[in-house]
Amino acid sequence: MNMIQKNLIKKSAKLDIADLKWILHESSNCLSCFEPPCQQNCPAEIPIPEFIRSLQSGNVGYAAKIIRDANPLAAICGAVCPEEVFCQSQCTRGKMDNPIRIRELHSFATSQEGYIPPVSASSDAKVAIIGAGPAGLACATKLAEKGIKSVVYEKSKRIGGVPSSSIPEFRLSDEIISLDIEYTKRFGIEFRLNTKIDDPEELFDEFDAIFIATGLAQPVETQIPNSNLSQVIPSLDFLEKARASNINEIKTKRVVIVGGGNVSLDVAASAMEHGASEVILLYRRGLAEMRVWQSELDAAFKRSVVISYLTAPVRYIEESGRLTGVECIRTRLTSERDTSGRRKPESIPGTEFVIPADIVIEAIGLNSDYKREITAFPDYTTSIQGIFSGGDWAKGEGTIVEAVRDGKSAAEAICNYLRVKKI
Amino acid sequence: MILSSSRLRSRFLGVELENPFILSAGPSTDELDITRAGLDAGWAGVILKTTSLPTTDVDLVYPMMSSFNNGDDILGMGNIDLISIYHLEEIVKRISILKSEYPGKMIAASIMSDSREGWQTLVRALKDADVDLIECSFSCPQGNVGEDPGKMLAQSVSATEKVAGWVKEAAEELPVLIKITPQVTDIVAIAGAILKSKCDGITASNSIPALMGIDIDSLTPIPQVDGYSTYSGLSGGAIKPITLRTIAEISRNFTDATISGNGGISNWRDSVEVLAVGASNIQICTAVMLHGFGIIEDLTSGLDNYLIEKGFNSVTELVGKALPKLVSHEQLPRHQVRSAVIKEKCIGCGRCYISCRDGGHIAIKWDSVNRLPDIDEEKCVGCGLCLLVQPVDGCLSLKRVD
Repeated sequence: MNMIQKNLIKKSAKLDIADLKWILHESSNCLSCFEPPCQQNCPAEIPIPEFIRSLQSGNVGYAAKIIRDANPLAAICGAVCPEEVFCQSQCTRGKMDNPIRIRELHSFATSQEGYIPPVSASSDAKVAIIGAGPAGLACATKLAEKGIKSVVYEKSKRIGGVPSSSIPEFRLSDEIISLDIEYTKRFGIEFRLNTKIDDPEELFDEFDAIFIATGLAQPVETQIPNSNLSQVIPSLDFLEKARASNINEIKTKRVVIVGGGNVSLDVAASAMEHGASEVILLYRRGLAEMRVWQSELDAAFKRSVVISYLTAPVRYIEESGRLTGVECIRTRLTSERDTSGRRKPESIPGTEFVIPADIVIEAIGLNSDYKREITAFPDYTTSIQGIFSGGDWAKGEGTIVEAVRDGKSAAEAICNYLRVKKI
Repeated sequence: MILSSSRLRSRFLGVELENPFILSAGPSTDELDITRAGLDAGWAGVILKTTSLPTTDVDLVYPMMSSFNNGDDILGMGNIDLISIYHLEEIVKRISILKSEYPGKMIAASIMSDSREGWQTLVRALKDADVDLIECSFSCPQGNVGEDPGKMLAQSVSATEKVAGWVKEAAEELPVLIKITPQVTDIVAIAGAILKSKCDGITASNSIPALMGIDIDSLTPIPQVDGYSTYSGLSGGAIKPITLRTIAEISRNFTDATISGNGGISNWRDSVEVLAVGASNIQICTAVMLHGFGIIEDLTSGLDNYLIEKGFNSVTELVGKALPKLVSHEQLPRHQVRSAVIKEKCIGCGRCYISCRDGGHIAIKWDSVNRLPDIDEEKCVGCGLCLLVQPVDGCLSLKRVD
C-alpha cells in the first residue's frame, strides 16, 4: 500500500488495495469542470469536483467534511441517491468516455469520515420541526449550525423517515442510516418521538417558527373492484413491515404488484427477498415509458421479478372472501400523450386474462394525510406566517436528496424570518 | 518479430549492429546468463556492467531500487546501486565467452578507475580479450572513485579531457565511448573535451542525481536503508527530455560527434526522438528492468514500421533529422498567434477558462448557459496553456493572425 492509499484510510473498513486503486483512478478522471454540471445537478449542491480532488490527494477527511457540510444525510445519500438522474447524468466526462461514478466516490469518502465535534445552540430562538425524515433532519442540523435550537416531533418511534421505515434493507442498511442519525445527534437536537402534532399552530406557544416535513403517508386509491380485500395491501404498509422484518405471511405466496414507479420496484424486489414464490408487476405501458432508476430495475431483475408490460388490472377476483387472482387486460399505446409527455395506454377489448395471486400490493403513489388546509409555497413559506414546509409534504413525491435540499433551504428561510422578527 | 532488417542495420564505430538497440551497462548485463538471455531475445549488443580493478571495493547496500509514480505508472526509477561486483578478470572471461557464442553481436565493456594506471590496465586487458568497444563511466551519480572524489569525472572539463586521453592512449584503435552526465554547467565544454581527447564517441547520458522522495509518515527519505537514505540515480521516462536536450546540444555544436543515446528511452517512439536529435543508436536499461527483454520485438518492429512509413531506407538517415528545426530562443520566428475554440469538439468542461483565468491572461470568456468558452482576441497572446489542459484532442487550436 502506498502513501496516498494509506492516507485514504481513516477508519478501519473492509477495503482492499484494488478498491483504493479504483478510487484513485476514478478520481483522477474527474475533469474538475468550471461551474461543474454535476454539482449544479446535485440538489444538496455538494462541491463534487472539490471532494474528488481531495480524494485524489489522499485528503479523505476533508473530502468527507465538504460532503457532510453540504448534505447532513451524506451516508444515506451515498448509498441510495439516484446518481443517474442527478450528478452523474450531467458529468462532462461522459461526453468523452464514461461519466465519473460520483456516488460511489461520495460513499467511499463518507465511509472514512472522522470525528465531528458537537455543536451547541447559542440563539434564544426555538424552532419546531414536524417529521424526523430527511427534510426535518437537514433543517434541524442547518439551524443548529446557525446556533438555533430545534425540537423534532416524530409520530413514529423511529428517527429517519422514509430511509429508516420503508426503503428495503437490502438497499439501505441500518448501519448506514445510523451514521447520519448519529451525526444529527451531535448538534444537540431534541427528538420527541411517538408524538403526533395534530395542530401545528398550537406549537407557537413554545416555538418561534415551525417547519412541516411530515412526508406522505396516504396511499392513492386504485378504484379497482374488490380492493377492500385484506390480501390487497398498500405499498407503504408492506414496505414498513418488510423493513421491520414482520412479514412471514408472504413466504411462498404468489404476489401481484400494481404500479410502475420506483416504489413498485422496491416492493417487488422486497417481496422476492422475503420469500414470495413469484412476483409479477403489472404495468400498463412499456419499459421505455417506465420512469424508474436503473438501479431499481437491476435490483428487481436480479431477484427474478417478472414485469408484465402493457397490462392493466381490471378487478381483483375473490372466492369465499379471499383473493385468488387478478383479472387483467392487455393494453396498447396510443398516439395521444398524457401530461407527463408519455403515450397514453388503452385497453384492447377481448384480451382479458387472469393471473392467479395470493397477495396484491398496490404501489401507485402516495398523498398527504396531514393538514391539507395549509398551502405550501415554493419559497418554503406557507399560508400561515411562521410556518414553513418542505420535502414530500410540500412538493409531492421526490427523492431523499431533494428533501435534504428543502430542509437546508427552509433553514435559511427560517433564519431570515427570525432575523426580521428580531427573535 | 522483426528484430532486424536492412533498414535497422547500421555500423557504429566499426561494429556491426543488427538493430540500433543495445543493453546498457546495468543490472541486465551483470550476470552471464541474464546477458545471454538478452542477446537471445534479439538485442543487438550489450555493454557489460561497469567493471573495475580488484583493488576497488564495491560495497553495495540493499534495498537499492525505488521509484516515483503517478498512480500505478512509474514515472522515474531511482537506484543506489554501484558498479559491478565482478572485477576485471571475470569480465575478461565473459567477454571471450560472449564473443565466441554471439559472433554477430556487439560485445562491449564498461570501466571505471581512479588512476592513469588503473584505467589503462583495464583497457589493455579488455583489448586483449577482443572486446568490440569500451565505454568509460565518467558519470556514475553515486559518486566517482576517481580524480576528484564527491564529484563526477564528467563534471570537470579538464579531468574529462585528461582521463579520456589516458584511456584512448591505451585503447589505440579500439573504439572508446565516454558516458557523461547531463548535470553540468556546460555540456558543450564537456563534449568538446572528449572530442579533443580523441575518444571515439559519447554516451549521452547517465542517470541523474536525485532525491527520490520523502516518506511523509516517517519523514525519512526514499529509499530507506535501516532508517537512512541517500541520493539515487534517476532514470526512466522522467529523464527523457533531459537526455534529448543533452544529445541535441552536443549534436548542434559538434556535427561530427558520435553519440550513443541513453537515458529514459522506453519505447520505439522515444528512440525515434533520440535518433532524430543526433544519437546513432539507443541504449536501454530501465525499461528492460521494468518490462523485460521482450520489449525488443516492439522496439524493432515499431521503429522499422516507422522507417517504412516515413520513407527512410535506413536508421542512419533518421539520425539528426530534427536538428535543423532546433534553434536558440532568439532565433525563433516571432508571429502573432491566438487560440481558437473548435465549438463542435468542445465538451464544455471549462478547464481552459480556469487555466487562462488563473495562469494565463484572462483571455477566455465563459458562456454559463451554453457552457462554451470564447477567446477574447484582444487579450489572448497565444501562450498555448489552454491547449495543455484540453481534455479532448482538437477542441482548441492555435492559429496565426499576422
